[in-house]
Amino acid sequence: MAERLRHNKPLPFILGIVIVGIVVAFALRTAVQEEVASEQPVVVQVTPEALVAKEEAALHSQSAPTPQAVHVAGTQVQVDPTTGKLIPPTLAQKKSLANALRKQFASDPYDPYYWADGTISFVVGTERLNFSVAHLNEKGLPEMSCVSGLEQAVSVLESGSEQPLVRAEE
Amino acid sequence: MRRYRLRERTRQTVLCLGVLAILTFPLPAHAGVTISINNVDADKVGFNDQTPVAPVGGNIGQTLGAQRLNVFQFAADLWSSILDGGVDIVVQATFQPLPCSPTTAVLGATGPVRVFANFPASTSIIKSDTWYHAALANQIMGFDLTEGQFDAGLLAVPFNDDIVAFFNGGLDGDTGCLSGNWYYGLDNTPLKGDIALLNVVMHEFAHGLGLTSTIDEVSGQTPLNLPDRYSVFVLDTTTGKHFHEMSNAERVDSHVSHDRIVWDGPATTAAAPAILDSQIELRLESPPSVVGRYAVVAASFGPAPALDAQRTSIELVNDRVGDTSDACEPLATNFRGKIAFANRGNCPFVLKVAYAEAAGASALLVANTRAGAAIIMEGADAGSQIPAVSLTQTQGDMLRSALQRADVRAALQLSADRLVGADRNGFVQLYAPDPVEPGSSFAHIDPSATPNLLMEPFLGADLDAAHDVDLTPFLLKDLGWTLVEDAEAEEAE
Repeated sequence: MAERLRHNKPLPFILGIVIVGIVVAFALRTAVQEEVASEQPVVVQVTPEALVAKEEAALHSQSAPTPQAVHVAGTQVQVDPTTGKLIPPTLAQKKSLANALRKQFASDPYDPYYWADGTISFVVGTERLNFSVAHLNEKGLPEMSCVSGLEQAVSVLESGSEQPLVRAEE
Repeated sequence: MRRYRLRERTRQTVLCLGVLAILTFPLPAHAGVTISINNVDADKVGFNDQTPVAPVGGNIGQTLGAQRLNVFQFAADLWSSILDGGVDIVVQATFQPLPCSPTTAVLGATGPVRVFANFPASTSIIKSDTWYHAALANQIMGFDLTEGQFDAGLLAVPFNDDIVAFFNGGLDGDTGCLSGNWYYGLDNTPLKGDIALLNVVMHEFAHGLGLTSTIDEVSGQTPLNLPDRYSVFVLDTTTGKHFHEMSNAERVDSHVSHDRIVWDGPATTAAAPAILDSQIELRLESPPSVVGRYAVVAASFGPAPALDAQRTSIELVNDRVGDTSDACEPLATNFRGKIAFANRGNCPFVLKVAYAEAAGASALLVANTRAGAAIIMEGADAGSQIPAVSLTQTQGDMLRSALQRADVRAALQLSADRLVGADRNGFVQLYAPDPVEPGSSFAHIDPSATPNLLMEPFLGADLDAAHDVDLTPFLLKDLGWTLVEDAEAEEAE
């Protein structure tokens, strides 16, 4: 092995050739890519699933600072270590919760009852109930709101929005 | 100021009957309607959960299920002490897991099991072709329209029960559902992060008793094209129409009519002045371009302005640091009794008030820096002696603009004729924000009302439904309920 090295070309010369080759190859590849890109329209397919996946990916790619899982009264929640505030749920988590509510409370309308004396009655069903919902605010404290009807409750869960700010200390 | 506080005698009696079982207090002269809980949970879960627990806040139940049931029965007994009636009300109830995550939970869902229309009651208060909640329809008729045994399960045939209530049993323990638990005490002292079940149940039962509409708020449609009793008192002050008089499209439009939707029931309107706080007004008297009475929002600390406050000048503060108008540092000038005007932000409200007071201001106006309604300024007051109020961003911009051109003369005073949470006619405002926000529904009172009311959409920490149900009985009275105190007064005559 030592004999062969002595009879080959010097190492710096070989390295120089390799580096020049890589640079030339990279430049050629970039030029070809730009040419192709300029000839074809950019097609971006945006679907709700793609948005959810993108949001999840973005969330996970935020490596600094890493959310901290802390236990508050026995429940694990994600807290931003920089601000100390609760990290809100992702779009996927909100949709999952809203879907669960719709699945549990969706009902077919009931037929009305007609009595001989003229009285009419119908069973109201779960779609028209009043729903109480609680969100943890950024301080980790529950804020409660009540909405009328299943669709409004689903909407509140999907939006995940906190109640409008009525009181504040600063 | 008169609030609809539960009378101590009644409350203690309820405690005795429902929880403590020590009959050391006299019964009320008029017992009120009987409200029973139909526990439809399976063995060992929900209301039948046998997990041992320690007594808490007056609730002596020894199992989780027993404590849950005690709170429900306590709420039922509280409403019984307020509402008169000879027909028993049955609340079908379950405490089962509802959708939940570490940050969001469905706490409960409640409403009437049935509604009735065109029942042959012999009273003039009945409107034909109008839906009434089962519990109220039964009282008006004087007998149970669906008489029979308790329903055997949740919303099960024959639908004899009057109100259905789902509550989330997943909140308790280490279940990944929120970070707090239900608080089962009856004394409204939950730990920080816990949720007082009694307040939520009292609110939801009121919906089941009649304070909700069958109108679909998204489409404006009504079942069988008949309106309901609740919508008879919901008035759009712009069109002059009540919800039961509107087309579906008009209802959808009115549903997002902030400040325009009011409750014009006579009992509630008559009771409001004794329950709601007086509105604080900024009365601008010059220059002519801004003359008017502007409703502003009082801080939760410090004194209220006087009814006949002196007119003085308004002056924008200057603290010479950063945003020089935020009053976060000592002020550069002596205000000598003028009203100080500052921007919101950068420091606690109590600090702004302290600097304004130290500079000799007679009051402090704080303009919001965000769009929307003015907020209630809160903080640990250090004994401030001047009133402080918050303005909307729009009001603040108008005032700032006027101050650049002329001396602005004003008085900050209590209104003699306006209430916080009521319109100029004294009608209580309902919650119909535009755009729709969480909790927006004309089945709730506008959250701008002070004090905090049971039927607002946001159940605040300062609510104490075991002692004070404020305007709620009067809303129910408008629907057709008879209050125990009225029945007693009638008996005494």
